[in-house]
Amino acid sequence: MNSADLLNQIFAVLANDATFLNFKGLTPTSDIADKAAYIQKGQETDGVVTNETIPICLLYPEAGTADTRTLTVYIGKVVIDCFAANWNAAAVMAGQAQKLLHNWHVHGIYVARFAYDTSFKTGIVGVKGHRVFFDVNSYIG
Amino acid sequence: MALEQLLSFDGDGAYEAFKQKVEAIVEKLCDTILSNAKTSLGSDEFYEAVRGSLHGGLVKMAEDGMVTGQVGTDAWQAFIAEWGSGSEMDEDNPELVSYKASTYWNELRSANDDAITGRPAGQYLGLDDKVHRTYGKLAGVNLEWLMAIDPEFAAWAEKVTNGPNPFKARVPLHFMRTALESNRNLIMDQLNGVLETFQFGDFFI
Repeated sequence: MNSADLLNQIFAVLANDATFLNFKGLTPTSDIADKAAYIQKGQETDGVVTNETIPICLLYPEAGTADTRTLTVYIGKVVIDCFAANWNAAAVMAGQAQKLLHNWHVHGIYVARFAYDTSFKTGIVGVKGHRVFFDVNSYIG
Repeated sequence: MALEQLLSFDGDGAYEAFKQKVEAIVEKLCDTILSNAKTSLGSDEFYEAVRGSLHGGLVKMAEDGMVTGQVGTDAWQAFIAEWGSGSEMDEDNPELVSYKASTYWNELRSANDDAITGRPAGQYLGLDDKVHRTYGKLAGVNLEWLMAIDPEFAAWAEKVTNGPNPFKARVPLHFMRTALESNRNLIMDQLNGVLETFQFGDFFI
């Protein structure tokens, strides 16, 4: 399996969770375009994250390594950057993502585990960030 | 036949082979940390030198039985990438006190909440370890603020400093800390993996 597929699957988890969508005032039946604007795939914040587009989250992969026990398994990382008007709101968003994705699995293909989280300054006025990392084992065949 | 001949263990051989496995995994983990650190730096032009000088890998230490990996960078901008600059810098930096006591520090910044501030007239040593000269016309002026409100000054500053976004307060990225901490589980897990999968049985002879 590949990163694009993995991100699609994680997007689906977040985009179908009422609590996670509610931070943006969306519901599971909301338009997919609105959901995609809220949960964006990609890392760059330029022009995407502003004090008008928050709350918003960015979803992207980071490099990992092949598992030394089973070389057909790749342990990659998925990072979710949550942006909101204050530290707490950003941390609550990231916390919900963590709740949904820690031990999330697609049988025989993916297993995700929480790895680390940290808050960070964005340099954008009125926007705070919280970043959460997951180790995701993928069966690459 | 003596018992020790039936069940002898090639300790040296096992040690050598095990060490090679550990070295290989440490090398791989360093690569991962390195590439994660690079990702965290983003595409900011100011950090070009940091991205370029990031290096890492196995550190060979003769004869002491340790396997060590190292990830680092030689670019001075790395301090700013890790801890931020100007009014945005992270006050938790354990080296901040010694930085403020050093010749690099501009005393006039304290009055502006540590924002980037014009230096008094004369020569000073920059963080780039070069000696610079200033006429002190902007001594004590908050340059972050001036950049924001005076486009003419901003254009001039960009020309004389020969770089994008001069006098910009940069947010701490903590790219090194994050790269290490977010890989803590992976590092422990993969080192355990070597221990679990190593075929000690191959060395009974």
